[in-house]
Amino acid sequence: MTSPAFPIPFARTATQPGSEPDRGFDTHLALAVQGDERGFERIYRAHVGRIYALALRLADNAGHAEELTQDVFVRTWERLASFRGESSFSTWLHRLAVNVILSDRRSAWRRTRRISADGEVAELEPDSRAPTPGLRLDLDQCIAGLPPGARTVFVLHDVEGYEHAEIAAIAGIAVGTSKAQLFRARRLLREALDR
Amino acid sequence: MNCEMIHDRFDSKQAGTLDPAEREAFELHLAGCADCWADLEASRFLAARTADLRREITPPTDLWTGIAPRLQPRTRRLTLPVGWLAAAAVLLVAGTSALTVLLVRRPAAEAPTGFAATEARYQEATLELATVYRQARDSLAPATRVVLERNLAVIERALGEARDALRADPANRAIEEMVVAAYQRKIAFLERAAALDRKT
Amino acid sequence: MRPLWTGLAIALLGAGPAAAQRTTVKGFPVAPDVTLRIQNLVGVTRVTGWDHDSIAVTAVIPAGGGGFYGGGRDRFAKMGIEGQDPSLTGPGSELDVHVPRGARVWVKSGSANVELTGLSAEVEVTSLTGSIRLDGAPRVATLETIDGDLTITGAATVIRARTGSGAVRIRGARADISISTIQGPVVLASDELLSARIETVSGRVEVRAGMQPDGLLEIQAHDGEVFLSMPSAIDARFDLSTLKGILASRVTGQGSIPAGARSARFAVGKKAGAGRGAGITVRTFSGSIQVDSNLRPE
Repeated sequence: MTSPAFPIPFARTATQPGSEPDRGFDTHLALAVQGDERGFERIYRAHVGRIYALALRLADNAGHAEELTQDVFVRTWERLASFRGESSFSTWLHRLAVNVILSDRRSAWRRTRRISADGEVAELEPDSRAPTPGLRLDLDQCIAGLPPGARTVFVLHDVEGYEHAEIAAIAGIAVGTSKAQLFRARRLLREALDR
Repeated sequence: MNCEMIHDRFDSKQAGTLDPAEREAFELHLAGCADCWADLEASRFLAARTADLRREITPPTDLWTGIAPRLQPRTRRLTLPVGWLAAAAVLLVAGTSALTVLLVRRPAAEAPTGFAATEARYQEATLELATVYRQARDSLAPATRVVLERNLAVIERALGEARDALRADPANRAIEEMVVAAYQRKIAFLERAAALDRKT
Repeated sequence: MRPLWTGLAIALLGAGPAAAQRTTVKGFPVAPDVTLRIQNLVGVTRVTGWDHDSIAVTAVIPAGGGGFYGGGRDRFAKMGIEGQDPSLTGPGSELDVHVPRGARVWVKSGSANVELTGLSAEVEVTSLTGSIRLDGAPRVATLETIDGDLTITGAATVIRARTGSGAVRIRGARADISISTIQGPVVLASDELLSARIETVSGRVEVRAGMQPDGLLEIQAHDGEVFLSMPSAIDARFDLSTLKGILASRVTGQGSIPAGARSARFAVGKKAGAGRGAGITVRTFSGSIQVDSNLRPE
């Protein structure tokens, strides 16, 4: 049996012919572009799993990932009119999600200001140390322990299939830095998984 | 072949696409470099495990309840542009009380390509944010407005200089990166400024 | 959830409507990893970590300067001065807060200066013109101001520092540093940088640092000048380029860059020569770049 090739970029398989959802999805997309929330909800339900997985691996904790996922879809709704169809919708959405997550500068202060808008003082995020459903305890936990820069590049390159040039443009780093961060991440993960 | 060049060829090595001379140089380097051996081994070790990672994870709660209230209503409209090419996809959808003609794809010929496309996206994002910022700015204290405008002027000057340089040397990738960085800086600043509340 | 701070000890200094107001809360029990939000727009806010699982706060508010509020329990609490007029001239309110060292602290300011000491978890501060001073080693520090200065001393693990015109001075940090200014100058001093990214439009950037073996330093400036001073034993790959500025390098083991050159890529040291070692990248539009290896240990 041949050794497995490097991770198949998920983004590429998702754009192969026939991989988009059926004509029903196009209908929902068309409705959503025109402002129909039910159509947009279908789009949300079709894509939330993928966006949440991305957010979970890039965010600080599960609560933060949930908030980022919601932010992604709100931004998607606002930007739907600018989807030109040059790429598949899932590719466009994924790129938008990466931008939203990486440029998340929203302070916890502003987050909690919404929570307390009605005067209630509420708990913030759930315990980030608790095991998160859906994550493998080995590699995903090790990814969560990577330094932020290395984690971002590893997730985008090895997990999500982005090229270094794309990562450099999105993250605002040099291509050489992206490559260096990737190899650092792989070394650190190898060491962590060995323990 | 040095370590950096070896790293750049990992994927090609795995895919078996190195030419014979490169493959020989690659293996010669590996024979004498413990660090690159370790890197290659780490990459192979991780490849299968990474491929097994789930790319879709269902959130533990239904996040739609936190999304729907934040969606600003948009008006439905009939869109009947003139002069669309046959490549456009036209869908007929039966609404509750009317037929709605929807167009979801524009012909590729209308879309800018290359860096022009990138810059168009940044300009669009900047314009949207600038509108939000101006509305927020008008409700801020005068001293705050002065502080914001002073900093924004510096950012815009730098963006203008970078764009001028790119116009003079359109194929220069380094200048393209500088233009992108300048747009990102402007967007980040406008987002911060727009988020300041009336108390400041 | 009602505010549960009962038994506040409130004492008035002096008498009459023109008197300042002092409010004190002592020994309010909270979890060691309490999340605490603090707001004081005008004046000064001091947050100090201590080895008690409780919060103590003293607020001194000038006449007409608003009122103190506070509430919460267990793992979440908030406090601050409400009803402030941001255009108020004068000293503003003084807020002195002691919290468990492991508290996650968020502070909002307008022109109030903020000082934080002895915290080990997460710190996040936003201000408009107030300066921010952080001493100690929190795990994550996110500090943002438009016009105030930022001064960070100590080995925080992750630092995100942003100003507009204010200066950024960071000393002693090593791990994951991200600095952004518009025209504020930057001074970064460290014995061993692991990962640092600095971007500015017009700020003057000065880095006096050694690098960890696989450290990364990335600097991007428009017309701000960049000065790098590194130890003579530096082992790193340098990638320097400017579109219109002047490039000068006096790094041991590397010949000088020809006059008029706009870019230089070279490796100094054994690992760097083999394509490894630390990586240093500097890009400017028109700001000059000057690199030397004359840094002496302090």
